[in-house]
Amino acid sequence: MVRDRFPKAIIVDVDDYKTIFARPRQHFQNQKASMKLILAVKKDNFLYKGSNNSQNFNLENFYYNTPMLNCVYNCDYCYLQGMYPSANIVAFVNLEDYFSATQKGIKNRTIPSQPLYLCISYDTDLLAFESIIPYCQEWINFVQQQPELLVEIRTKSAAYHAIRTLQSSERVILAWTISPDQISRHYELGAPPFQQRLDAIKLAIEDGWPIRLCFDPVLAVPSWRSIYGKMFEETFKQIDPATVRDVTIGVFRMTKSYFQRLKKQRQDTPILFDNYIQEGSTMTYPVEIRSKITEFIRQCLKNYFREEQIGIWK
Amino acid sequence: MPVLMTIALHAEAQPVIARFKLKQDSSFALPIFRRNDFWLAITGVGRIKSAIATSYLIANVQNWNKAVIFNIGIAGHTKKSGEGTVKIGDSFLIHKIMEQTTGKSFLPDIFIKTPLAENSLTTVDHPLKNRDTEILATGLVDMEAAGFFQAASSFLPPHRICCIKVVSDHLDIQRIEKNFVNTLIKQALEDIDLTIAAYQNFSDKKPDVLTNFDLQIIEEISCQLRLTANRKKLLVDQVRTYKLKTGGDLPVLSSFVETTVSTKRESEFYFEKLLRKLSIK
Repeated sequence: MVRDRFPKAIIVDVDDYKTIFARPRQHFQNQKASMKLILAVKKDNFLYKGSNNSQNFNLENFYYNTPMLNCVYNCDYCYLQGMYPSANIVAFVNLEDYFSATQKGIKNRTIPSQPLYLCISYDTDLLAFESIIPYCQEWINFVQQQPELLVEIRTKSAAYHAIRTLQSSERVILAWTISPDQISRHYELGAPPFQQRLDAIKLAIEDGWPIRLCFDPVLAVPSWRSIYGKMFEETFKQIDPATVRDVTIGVFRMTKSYFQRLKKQRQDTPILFDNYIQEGSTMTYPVEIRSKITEFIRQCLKNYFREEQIGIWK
Repeated sequence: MPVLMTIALHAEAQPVIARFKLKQDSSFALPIFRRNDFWLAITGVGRIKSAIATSYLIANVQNWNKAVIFNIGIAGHTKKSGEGTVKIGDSFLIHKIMEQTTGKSFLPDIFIKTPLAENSLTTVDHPLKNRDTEILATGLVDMEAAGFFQAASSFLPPHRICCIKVVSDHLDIQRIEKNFVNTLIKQALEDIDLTIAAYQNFSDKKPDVLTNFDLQIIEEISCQLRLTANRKKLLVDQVRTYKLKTGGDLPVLSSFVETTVSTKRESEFYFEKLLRKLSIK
């Protein structure tokens, strides 16, 4: 099926995807300009425990997985550039193994009174890739059979039409990352602009999907108050907050090792050359800046949401 | 950017040497030909010899870390003559190299459009007869590429390692005449040249926001203020931040270039002053 989508593609067989994906001295940005698609079979690690750098909305059985590695977009601030040695996209084709592992995870979860909360589109953007490999469709169909599973599909894509024919489910949260237009234009190469994402969100709301809005990462660019303030105004002029399940906020943060690798590669973007400090193993803004930004955004969002609907990375 | 070439036989190398007007440099332990940034090593036959010569060549070139390296030569093809579409004289960019002895595979990273079609190749340790082809993957067959690639990839990134092969036979002849080899490579030279040029022109980096002038200023100030290596690195970072964020030139820093310091405290004082001048609220 994937091969049919690319009839002119040159196909090269490899024994193990890691021999190409994980080799040293690859040039991430060059590969971004000429991405290869690697179809692979994942052998293990179908579930990972959720990270402290992500919000879990007080759901303790918090996990994520990686049906795909890498993303079609190329955001300046993206941690994938520092985490993966290659920009090529790896798509794992053995979804049935993911489903088995998830079912096991559901059965063995530590807090049985809560669902297994699984984020499936962290190190990638599955919706952006849906027309090539319909991962979202497969997972949405799977979730329909799993009453104790809650899945989040995070995206910047405007390609909601790719799943529009599917029945919405209260156990599938569609989570859109939204950025002000100025940020999107300068720092989110390839990602659809603000209005197109809003248009996709509005359709998804119309169709009954639980929607999460993610304002993450928030960047301390000059005039950030005005830029983000106007973005919130415009967003909630077009989207009724009552139709939104919850929102998340997070300032820029990145594991130090990823940040250092990324900074070496990307000396062309001011985003990485800001006054970051190290807290534990994370690079982020100094606490006074972080607090100012978080508090400003929290106050903006409190006009539209209850406190418990606002997830904040502290 | 240095352009390095490894070629097994003199008969294969001779047209390339003529094309790029290379001259032998007898100061090396191996046959090496060069002119300006173009280098060519004749490696001898076999993957071990190819690996040794490749490593030797790279290690002896200044700015080797910026080089692009090519293995160029003839290769057989597993399909019998007339069976497939591949003909004698066809030239290919190799996208997968299989090493028969170990079963390992190596893949150059190809970003660039070239006039060459792509194909895969198996490196064997002994010349094959046609009846041996059943055990090989369909494609080209040579005796050097796997050794070349493994050696080159110890030094260079996979997108700057390239293998170009010209089909010389369908594994149906015992011995290939030197003149015939010569002719095959000569006929493929135009495409080889264009491919080399394409790789040469491909740049790894976006233009740096720091100009030569900026770097010179940084150097002078570092000297005047007697900055440690760490502080110099901080200064480079701060200058880069300033230029990326403002999109403009640096402020006038001549006072720092003209300052001399005689104590560590003075150095720290002026360094902090400099950072404040370069900071953006």
